[in-house]
Amino acid sequence: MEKNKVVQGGDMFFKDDIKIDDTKIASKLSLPDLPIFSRDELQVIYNGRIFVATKNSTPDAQIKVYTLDFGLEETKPPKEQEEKYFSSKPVNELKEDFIKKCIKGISVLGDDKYPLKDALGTQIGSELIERIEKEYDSKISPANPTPPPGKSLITKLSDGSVFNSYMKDCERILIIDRKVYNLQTIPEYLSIFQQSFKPTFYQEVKKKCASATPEEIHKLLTDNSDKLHRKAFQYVRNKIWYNNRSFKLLLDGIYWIPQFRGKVDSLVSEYQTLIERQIKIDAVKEHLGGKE
Amino acid sequence: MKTEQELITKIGTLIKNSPDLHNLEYEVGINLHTTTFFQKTVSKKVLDKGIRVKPVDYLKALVFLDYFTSVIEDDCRICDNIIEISKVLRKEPKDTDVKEDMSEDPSYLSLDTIVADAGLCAKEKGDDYYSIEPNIKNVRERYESLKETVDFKSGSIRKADLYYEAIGQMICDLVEEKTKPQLKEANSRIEVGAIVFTDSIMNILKDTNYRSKVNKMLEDKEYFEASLTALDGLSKEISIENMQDYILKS
Repeated sequence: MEKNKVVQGGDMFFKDDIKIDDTKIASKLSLPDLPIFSRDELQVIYNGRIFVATKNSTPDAQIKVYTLDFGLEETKPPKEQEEKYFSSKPVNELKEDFIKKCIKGISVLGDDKYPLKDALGTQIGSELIERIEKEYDSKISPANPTPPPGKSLITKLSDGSVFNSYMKDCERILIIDRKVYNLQTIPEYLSIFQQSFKPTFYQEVKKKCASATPEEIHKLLTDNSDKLHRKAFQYVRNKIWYNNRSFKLLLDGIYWIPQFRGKVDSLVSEYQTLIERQIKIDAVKEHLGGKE
Repeated sequence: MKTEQELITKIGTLIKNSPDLHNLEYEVGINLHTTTFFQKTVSKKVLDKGIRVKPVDYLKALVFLDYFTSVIEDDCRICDNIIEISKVLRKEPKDTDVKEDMSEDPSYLSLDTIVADAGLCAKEKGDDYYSIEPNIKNVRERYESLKETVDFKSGSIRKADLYYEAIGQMICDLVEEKTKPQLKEANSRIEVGAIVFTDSIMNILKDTNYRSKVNKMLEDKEYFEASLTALDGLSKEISIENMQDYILKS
């Protein structure tokens, strides 16, 4: 019995009493506002990087909303935002609470002088991490992103962040007002109307899109309106460009058209699960040690 | 509030903090910021009507009609009138080329024509209808029920980002330059609607007495009263004959 007694600072417990409470592994954490999705302004997420509108001029990355022209500047990457989040006081408190809930038989977590993992060894930590990963495995899988069809001027950011490692279908999106829009290229938009075009003209317009501005495509369509079904004409043309009050987004060398995907809630829920998993694993590593 | 930038930021903040009227999105034709503009300022019942308006007047006409069908009246009969007018003016048979420039198509009406039709609708109610308190009681109740005031001093207010500054610019561009200072005092979407509605009428209202009354009310931030007074004045001026003039002019 004495062999199992552990004196930890001013506290004492017995190793035989230390057990993992499996029922608490899946417990929901009251997460503070998540990084990335809590920003209350227009964001473009492209190839793992996050861009926001700015009054500064950025010739290769622009967004025009109504008559106002803005630049698009890359902001703090997901990794940096997540690191700040994971090291924040509220999250550190969540980590402590989680360990206390999951590990029966201890009442304190130790401190820098008497860390708990030194008293317990790392086996229990490794075991708990395994159980956490098993609990969450069915809910996640590594992201396998398809590179977006730009001109590769903006390289893929593989920063090891939770967001870039696991979030799916976020290679080219725009977020505003808690809504997600997929970014379509102009040829992708035109493909909706393929049957409304004369075939050779359709191919001509698609080819032109590789280098043309929306204004130039507008002119091409207007000058050849007889090669497009009359009822589709306005719908095809006006979303690409109509006049100086039209929307325009230039990034990675091509122009994009936002298409509504849905509310951001499903992405937030998915990210929340991933963040929760990471916090739990980090909690174990920090307080109990375990597999790296 | 000294500068246009402050004005568009204020209006952008007001609109950003107003709940969406609906969640209509457009896969084709309508761009991102126009979608936001519709979600924030034009009810679904007006959008669903598919009114034909000249592009230069389109956004203002929709806001005008939204105010008329949500506050002044509680139905969309004016929209049905306008659709009938468009149908009569639409001379092209269906198998000919669509006009690329809607401003050349007579079936796309001007804002002035739509405003004139609103005047005729008001005229049908009878003389001084909108200046007699019992008649305007329901109108006032509708106005008050739609008045979701934004508390600009609240700690939880959503600040206008650059996107919403652009939306604010869209709203400010709806009114004449001389009306823009009135927008700075608006604290709810319906007040913005009342200002745009009144401004639309003032573009064709000729009676100087009514114009003076309306301008004074706007300066005194009596936006609801200004909208009714302007409509009352218009109803006295408008006739079928000068309605036809507006149609021909457009």
